[in-house]
Amino acid sequence: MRARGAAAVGLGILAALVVVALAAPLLAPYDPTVRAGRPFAAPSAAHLLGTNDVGHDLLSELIYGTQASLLVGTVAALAATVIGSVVGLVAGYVRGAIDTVLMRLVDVVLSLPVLPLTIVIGVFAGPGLVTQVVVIATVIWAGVARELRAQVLSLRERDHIQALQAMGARAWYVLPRHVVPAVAPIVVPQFVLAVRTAILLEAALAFLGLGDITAKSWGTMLSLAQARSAFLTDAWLWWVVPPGLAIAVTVLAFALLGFAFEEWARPALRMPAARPARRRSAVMAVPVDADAPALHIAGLTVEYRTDRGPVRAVESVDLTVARGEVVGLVGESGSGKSTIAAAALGLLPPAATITAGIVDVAGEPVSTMSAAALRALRGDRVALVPQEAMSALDPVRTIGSQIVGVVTAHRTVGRAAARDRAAELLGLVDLDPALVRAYPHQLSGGMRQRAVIAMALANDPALLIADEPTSGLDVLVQGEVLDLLDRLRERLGLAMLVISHDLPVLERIADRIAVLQAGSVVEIGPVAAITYAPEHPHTRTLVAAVPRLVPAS
Amino acid sequence: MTPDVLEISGLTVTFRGPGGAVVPAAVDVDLSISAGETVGLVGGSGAGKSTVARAVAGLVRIDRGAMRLDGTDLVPLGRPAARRLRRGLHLVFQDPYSSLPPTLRVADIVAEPLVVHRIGSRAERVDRAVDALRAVQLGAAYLRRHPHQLSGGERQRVAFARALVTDPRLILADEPTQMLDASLRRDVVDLMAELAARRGLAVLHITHDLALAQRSCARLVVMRAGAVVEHGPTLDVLGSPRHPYTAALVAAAAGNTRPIREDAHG
Repeated sequence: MRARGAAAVGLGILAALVVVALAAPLLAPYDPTVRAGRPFAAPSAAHLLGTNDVGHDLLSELIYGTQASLLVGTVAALAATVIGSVVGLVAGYVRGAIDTVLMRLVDVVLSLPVLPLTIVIGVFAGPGLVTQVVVIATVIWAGVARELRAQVLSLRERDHIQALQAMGARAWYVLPRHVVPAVAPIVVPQFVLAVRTAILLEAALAFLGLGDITAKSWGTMLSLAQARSAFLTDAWLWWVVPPGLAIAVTVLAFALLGFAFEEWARPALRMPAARPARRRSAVMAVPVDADAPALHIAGLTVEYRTDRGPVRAVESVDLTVARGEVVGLVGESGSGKSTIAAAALGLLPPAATITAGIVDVAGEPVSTMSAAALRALRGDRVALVPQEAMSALDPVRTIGSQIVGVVTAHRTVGRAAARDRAAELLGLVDLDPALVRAYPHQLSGGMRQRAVIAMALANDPALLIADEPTSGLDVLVQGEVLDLLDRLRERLGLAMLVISHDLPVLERIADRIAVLQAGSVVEIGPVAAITYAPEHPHTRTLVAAVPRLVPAS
Repeated sequence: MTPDVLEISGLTVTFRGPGGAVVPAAVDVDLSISAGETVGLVGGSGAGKSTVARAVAGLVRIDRGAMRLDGTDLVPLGRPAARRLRRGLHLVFQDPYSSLPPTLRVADIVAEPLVVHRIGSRAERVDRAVDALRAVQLGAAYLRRHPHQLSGGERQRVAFARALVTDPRLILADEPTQMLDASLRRDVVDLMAELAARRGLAVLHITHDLALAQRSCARLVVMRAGAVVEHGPTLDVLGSPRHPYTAALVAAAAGNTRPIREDAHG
């Protein structure tokens, strides 16, 4: 929908520009090479944009300028994009010596100063449209190549490309069918940028006398306006602004098309437009109720807007986590576990709306809070232990500075105090406090998960929400992390909502387990009851599905 | 006794770490699988399980060792010959969300190995894709869908359908259940067992979940730090582990298992 709109606008503008370029002799009121009025005439009925220093009609120049600007810009950008893409694809996919040679060449081109290079090539080749295209393409292909190579390098390691290689597919099979479509969305913005650069370079070249003198472009107009002191008078209004706008509108048209193309290339992006969630903005500070449960959810219903109308992800869910209690939320993918967690954190995606019910964290109503109040709440009263410890940590900052960041976001404490707190938190999760200076990549998976737990604990939250805290971890490490959570709960009296699709994980640390199916809690009860005497058929299925190690007799 | 479909001996793979340090990923690994057999390759993260599968699939360069597929060693062969031989095996990845090309429809995804190896006409490919989907209990209605319209379990079934479409002799499944719900895990493991039994496939099931391995694997190979520390029939390895690492894995898995109460027995 959005893509179609953007594409329509972009195509509309481009079509208009092409029509203007092609029909210039019909549309232009005068021949732009003929003196049609007195020099420096202000706009009038006869000359809508006035005239230049020799008396040429500026509107006619602008209309004819479309031809040269579009032609040189598009052809040069196209050439540069094609050359750059091919070089980037080959270098990134084939690697080895070819990569080294090509990328050194790219380095050389990128490090050469653009303007002198442009002049040198231009002088050798002589003025003309072809020279402009060749010069511009030579200068800008290297940037495209570098960008593409980086994309291909990461794409190469993706599973579906590896799967093809494992099937025995060769480079010439994989590149056009899988790599090119995947990088196409990146090529298009590159092309848009190239068109812009090309149109600007064209102006520079035209100014240096390397353009085709018989075909004046927008760039030539700008250069002439500058050279003939248009800025000293009001003339810039009709001499500089119109070609400037023309260039901006052209670039905009390409950008809109690029956006549409990106949606087309990635079907998963085709989602209905998000309507900003309406929130009651001014919420009075609610006095903190020490007796309120850590989490109280009642009658919660959440709907997602989709192509096929609203979809109910969570329906009339009641769930309470008392202070110091650990409640497990189990369900299969799509059962609504993550939506409930997101609702408790006030982090529902824009496409989701709470249509009924309340969510209170430590007595504070999350479902009606302002965005600012929510930010204050998150990481303070309620904290999240996200699923992927590696992606939850910033790879370029030390563990210590990330914990300090969480502390100082909510507390006014000095650097030193915050640093001490970080070291203390690492000790709390059984990590060496010296690791405050370590970067995430220096830690093992289990250590990273501990660091993430330490961050969550930074401000003594009333409630910890752990979303699949052990998935992706080694079995042995998994046990250690669960033991740690168990100890922390004893020591700090933490209330936790632990989400997992793995029943055994919850059996190990939860007091009660809530079973979700298709957005509803179908059964809730103490762990023993759920494991040994499940009542609901879905619970029975879940319990039976758990692969248990059968002790050898 | 039938010859083994896959026989690996002395497989050693090393990677270059930062600063040129040599990191051994697999050291002198021996392993064999016969037709219709499912062998579990178990161990913690970084044990080298995936490296073994990727070496067999030709995705990593090996330092030394032999990898025999139906009696022919892949190692001394030139690339085109090895590529032809590798049509007889297929690698199934852990993450069904990333291992399927997002822009293709299921029909094209499943038929892709046929296109890669230029097998059959377009119509034949569609027929074989339909057959392969049927073998993993997905109907023809799935043909026109994109991966993002499928659930995790359905995606992994599509991945298996793609694996089956060339009628391979060997499937290397690298943690195929890791990203799935518990009930789907069991389904996928049962599917692998069924395919092994019915089609006489050799299956290498890489997993760190001993309970899952116990469900479908006749034999287990336990790896740690690139080396095989223990191997044998599943019940022996799990029942009386000889290596302390195996014992620790078994204890961790048993920690996830509540003892079955007498009165809870049905």
